[in-house]
Amino acid sequence: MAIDPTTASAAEIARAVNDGALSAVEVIEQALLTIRMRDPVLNCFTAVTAQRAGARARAIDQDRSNNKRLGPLAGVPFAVKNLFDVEGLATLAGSKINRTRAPATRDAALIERLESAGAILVGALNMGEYAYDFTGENIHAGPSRNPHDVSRMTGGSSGGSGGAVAGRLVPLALASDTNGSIRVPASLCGLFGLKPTYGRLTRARTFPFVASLDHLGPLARTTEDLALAYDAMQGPDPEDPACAIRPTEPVAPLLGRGIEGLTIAVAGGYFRAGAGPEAFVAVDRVAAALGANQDIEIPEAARARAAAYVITATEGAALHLDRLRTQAHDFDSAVRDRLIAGAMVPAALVAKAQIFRRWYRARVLELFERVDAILAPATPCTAPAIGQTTFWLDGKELPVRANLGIYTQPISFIGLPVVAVPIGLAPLPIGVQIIAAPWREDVALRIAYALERMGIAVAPTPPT
Amino acid sequence: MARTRKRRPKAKAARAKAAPRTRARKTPRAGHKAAKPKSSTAPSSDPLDGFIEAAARLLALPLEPQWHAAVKANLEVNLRLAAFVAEFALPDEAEPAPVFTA
Repeated sequence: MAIDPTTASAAEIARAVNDGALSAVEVIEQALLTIRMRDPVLNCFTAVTAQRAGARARAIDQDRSNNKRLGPLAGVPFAVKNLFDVEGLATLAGSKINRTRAPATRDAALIERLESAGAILVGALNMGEYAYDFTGENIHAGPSRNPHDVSRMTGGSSGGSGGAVAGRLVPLALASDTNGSIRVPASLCGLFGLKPTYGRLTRARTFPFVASLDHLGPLARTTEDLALAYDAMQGPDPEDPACAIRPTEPVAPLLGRGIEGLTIAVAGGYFRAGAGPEAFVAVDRVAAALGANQDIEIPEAARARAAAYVITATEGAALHLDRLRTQAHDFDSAVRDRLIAGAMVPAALVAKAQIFRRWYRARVLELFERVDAILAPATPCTAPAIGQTTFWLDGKELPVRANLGIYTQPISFIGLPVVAVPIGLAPLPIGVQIIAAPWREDVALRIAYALERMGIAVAPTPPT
Repeated sequence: MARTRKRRPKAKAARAKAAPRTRARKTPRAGHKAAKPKSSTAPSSDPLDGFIEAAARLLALPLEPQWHAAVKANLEVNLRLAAFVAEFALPDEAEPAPVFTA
């Protein structure tokens, strides 16, 4: 076997399968074995689609033996947060309530697109209930565990996605990000995560949370893998009303262009307060490597985070109102109480938040006339302990569940594309956000790739 | 049209008039009774406690006494953050973003 598929990147696996150095069946058998061995501890998977994966792997190997051209992700095992529809499975969205849903009759659109590129779905992943979570804990399925220290959180709500990729169960996972649920687990698990521009990737056949804030995207251990997955998933889709009618703009061929000519600034003010020192050490390390010595103020970021919080609480409550009325006891109580409170916020205040949202978007877009990218912490700290309910930030004791996303919320609030890159601090990694203008994923990914080549941003190997 | 309306049986007209209210009452589900919030504590001087009880009743949301404190704590955060946003002065012409585009 030319490479070890349990440690190789998605790009390496696809190259080996395309070249015939590795069969897709070998890759999938090894991936399924690794899941069987490690997942009892990491608790990332809620379903393993072994039969389906085996059939798909055999079909890819057959295609190769028939000299058919294979896709750019040929033979790459991947898994999805369990809010993605997977044919034959109930779409849980981290809940007990959804266990009684009828099995999905068709895969989510992004699964179909990745499989069209040759990737192979191996299962569905644990997540915070209904995605209203930053911890990666789940009262029904148990917490997903951080492979770098299994007593610690993965971050949420895409906790299983973070743990599965960091724990080398799969090289690639899909996740959702409403307020930070890709970037928070990327930070706590030491991974690369891409939250694309709002409307860039179709959300068709996934369980929603906050329609005007929901994004989908990949988590991986390299920038190249993010780019390959992103390129395979782009394109309009009339089944998602928010999905932009915009042609595919491949980014993988652009990664090697480097950072020359890019103006990169560091977010000041709100983004330089309220965190542990490790968050700022990571940002400073990235800024120094990139020569980013300009600070920039994202105006009214605290208010943006507040508005995102209010819109999330109220739109989330609207989504679940009937379930709250009829099945309140079947929710995680922490989620239920937040949703009930969200239902009680006066509509006039929500309208104010939406008015502010447009104003804030216009001000932030003005910044991108001066800079190409902005650096900011991804989380205020490294992974908290599982079960930890509060932490101290800036002298205040705050709930972990609501506050791990203080730096991600003001960014997703206006749909900007972000790549979270891992900085391997000891003893635990932490992430830095590379924020770009709408539709400029290429800029954020080029910077991430440059940092990776410099050895600054690297997904650390967890202890075995 | 006027004649048609006159010919409508009284009972049918009454049902038609009542239809919107009937639909509203059926939410969330036929057969589901709106929860009657139980008083969670002794009478409180905090108007938020009364607001929560009333809102739960109006929204047909169950609110068990032991949930009240957590709901209140969450609502206090929501209202504090919402007020922080609302106090930011913007012109009357400022448009909301009901259909958000990046």
